[in-house]
Amino acid sequence: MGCIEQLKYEILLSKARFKECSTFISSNYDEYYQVQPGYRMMNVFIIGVPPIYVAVDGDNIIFPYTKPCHGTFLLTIESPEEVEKIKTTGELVK
Amino acid sequence: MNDERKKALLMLGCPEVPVQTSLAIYTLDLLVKSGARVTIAGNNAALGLVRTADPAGHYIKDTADLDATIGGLAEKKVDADICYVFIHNDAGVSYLATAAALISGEAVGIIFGNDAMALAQQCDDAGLKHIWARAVHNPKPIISKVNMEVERWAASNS
Repeated sequence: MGCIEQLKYEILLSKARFKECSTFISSNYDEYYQVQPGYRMMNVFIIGVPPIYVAVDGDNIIFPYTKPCHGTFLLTIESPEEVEKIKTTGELVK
Repeated sequence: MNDERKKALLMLGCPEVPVQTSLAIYTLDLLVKSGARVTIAGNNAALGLVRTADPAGHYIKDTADLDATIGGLAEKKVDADICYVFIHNDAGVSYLATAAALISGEAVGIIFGNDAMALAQQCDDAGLKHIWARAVHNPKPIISKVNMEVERWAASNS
């Protein structure tokens, strides 16, 4: 999965539809934010159909990652830096 | 010398549906004839197919990695007057929505494949422009719509 493979991630949903990932985030997390398409997360740019949700769980950040041939993956990565960034740049939904 | 031609970006999806490669080169040819400078963006497999279909480079002049193109659009290093996104799966709709949000020009989906109708509905729900036809192996069902769409865009710029 490109640059994301260089990071230590866990897959929560695999080869899903984008909307399924949004629903998973809104149904399972107490804190999540909305970002615009093209939001930079580490070395990748988030793509998707707005609203694009990114959740926070402690030091973990949960976000959709789409590839043309494999659909959308919902990934979680431990990254205090990205958690801090989303809290300041994302639009809090819940 | 400045290149004043309009910039067109073709964003390819996964190349598993047979019509994509020929449809992309066909669309590129229409855009070039309308006076545009065209870049094709895709993953390695998608670009490999279009390059192999045009070995002497008669049609394809510029190609770009899909992820790098998204990054370039997000960082405003890349832009286009028109972006056609080739769609045959859910991921393609995400790419179209992203292109529509990031480019200064128009973004239009070209939807084909077995799920074309459902994907067109997804685009409608998201307010995304598109044309669609259930073309899988034979591009004929969508060719006339591509002709009309490129003519529309070219006319809007003349």
